[in-house]
Amino acid sequence: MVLATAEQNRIHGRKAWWSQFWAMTKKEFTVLTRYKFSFVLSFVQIMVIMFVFTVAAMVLAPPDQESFGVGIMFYSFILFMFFSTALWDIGNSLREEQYQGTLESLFMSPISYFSTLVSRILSNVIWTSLNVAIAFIFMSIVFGKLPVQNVFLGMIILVLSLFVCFGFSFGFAGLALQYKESMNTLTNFLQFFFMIVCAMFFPFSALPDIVLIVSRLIPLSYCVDLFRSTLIGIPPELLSYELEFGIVTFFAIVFPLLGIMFFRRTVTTAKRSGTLAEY
Amino acid sequence: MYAPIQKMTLKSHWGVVWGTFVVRLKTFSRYKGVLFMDILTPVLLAAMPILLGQALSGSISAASANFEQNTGLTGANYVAFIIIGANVFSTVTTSLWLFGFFIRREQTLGTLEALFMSPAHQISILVGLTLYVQLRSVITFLGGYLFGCLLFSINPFQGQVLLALAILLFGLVPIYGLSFLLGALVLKVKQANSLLNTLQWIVGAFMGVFFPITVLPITFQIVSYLFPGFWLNYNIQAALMGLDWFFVNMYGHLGILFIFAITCPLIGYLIFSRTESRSKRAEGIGQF
Repeated sequence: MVLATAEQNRIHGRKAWWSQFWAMTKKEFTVLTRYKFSFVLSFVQIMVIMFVFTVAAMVLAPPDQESFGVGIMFYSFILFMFFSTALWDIGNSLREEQYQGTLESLFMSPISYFSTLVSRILSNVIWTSLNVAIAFIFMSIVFGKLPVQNVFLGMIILVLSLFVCFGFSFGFAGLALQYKESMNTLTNFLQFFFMIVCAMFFPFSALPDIVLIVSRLIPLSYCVDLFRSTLIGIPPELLSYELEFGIVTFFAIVFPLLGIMFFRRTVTTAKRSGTLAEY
Repeated sequence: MYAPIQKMTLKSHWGVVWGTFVVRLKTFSRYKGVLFMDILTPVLLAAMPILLGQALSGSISAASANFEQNTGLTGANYVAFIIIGANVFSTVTTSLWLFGFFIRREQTLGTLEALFMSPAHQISILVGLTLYVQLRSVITFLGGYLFGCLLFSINPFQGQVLLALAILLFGLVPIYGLSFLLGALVLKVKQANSLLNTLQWIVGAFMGVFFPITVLPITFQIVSYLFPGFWLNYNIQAALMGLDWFFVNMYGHLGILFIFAITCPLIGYLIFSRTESRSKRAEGIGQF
């Protein structure tokens, strides 16, 4: 009864949506800027990770392949950073609200779920983009020029890939509310699983045929392949350029829709069973 | 003002040690997926540079040749080098994470203050925790190493396996000392997640996980030599892969680990207990 009333009274209208979106984004930024130490450390962390893997790539690659190897690794790493943010941060941020006891009151108020999720994404995207920019500057200074081609197209593919990643993260946030603490292990596993199967950090040609079959079934593989091959200026490994672009665009539309539907369903189920505040 | 420190007998100290150990172990046993991930993580971590090397060079043998040429480690199998490195790295970071996170977790749960205000001596709590970390680290290392070797067709029993195991058990002692330091840092700055995330990669950079540190600039090499994690990793790689004992001989290497095993826990504990006492006197250790 209460639930039905809350659903009916959900605030509608563009102005209301923007107003709540703005308020939530502001709150997310306020929290983010309170942890200055974490903010600074995130840049250090990215630089150290890039340093370790780039030196490893240079030690193993033949001299004529060094630049290509570093390019493959760096551009895959950019997508990996956004994907990792999508996987961890949205669900964790909701879990944090659950721990602090504010999630139930938030979702019992007549706000839009979509704006709640998007506001959390925005702050993370800005943070991660800053990290990427710093990593790019660091790599260029320490290891010389990275191969950079078709920047504009690369940015379009990056944006489409972000839609894929964050669409996935909406659904995943729903799972985090459902499975609670066990999600940490699953997230950890999935992060590594996608890292290997979607060939982040290395070309797809390194994967055994049986793993490649799985890779071809995951949309994120096409995002990784298309993004890095566009920026390096080589043909994609999995399918033709046009076909990969079509696949990435299709999932950039479908994933957010499916994700938000799944998230809405999970929250409604949790509300009905009264488990929204349980952690 | 503080809880009176009772004169504790050896038996009561052991009771605290055992109690802390069992609590951790029970909590760990409730999350079975964690052990699976502990074992899988170093293998997946190792897979990335191994596959990258293979893809860029065309084959594992070509990548091995490049590795030899670029590092000067003649006859060293790069796959084995990376698998061992990734497993030692994972063991070291697990130790650092577990201790740093223990502090943070107890703090957020609101039990840290009660724990450290109780008459149980800190050392007993730390020893209990260290025992648990030691057990988990060894299981993780063995599981990850065997699985990695199986996956990449490496003979896990090559070289001096027992010596490597002894080095692992003994070489983790200084790491626990460093983890006490980290605990003090977590008490001070509180933002444990980002601190540990960053530190683990800095540790990785100086340990020579995916490549020998000789390929790094000399300043980096000096820092590595001052870090016990490097000696732990190198000594295990030397025992299993037959690398050079470049510092005098094998006993020279073990001697350095021994010095770290004495100094690191002492310094770590002193700094930890000082930070803790200061925090108790100031804002208290329960704040997060």
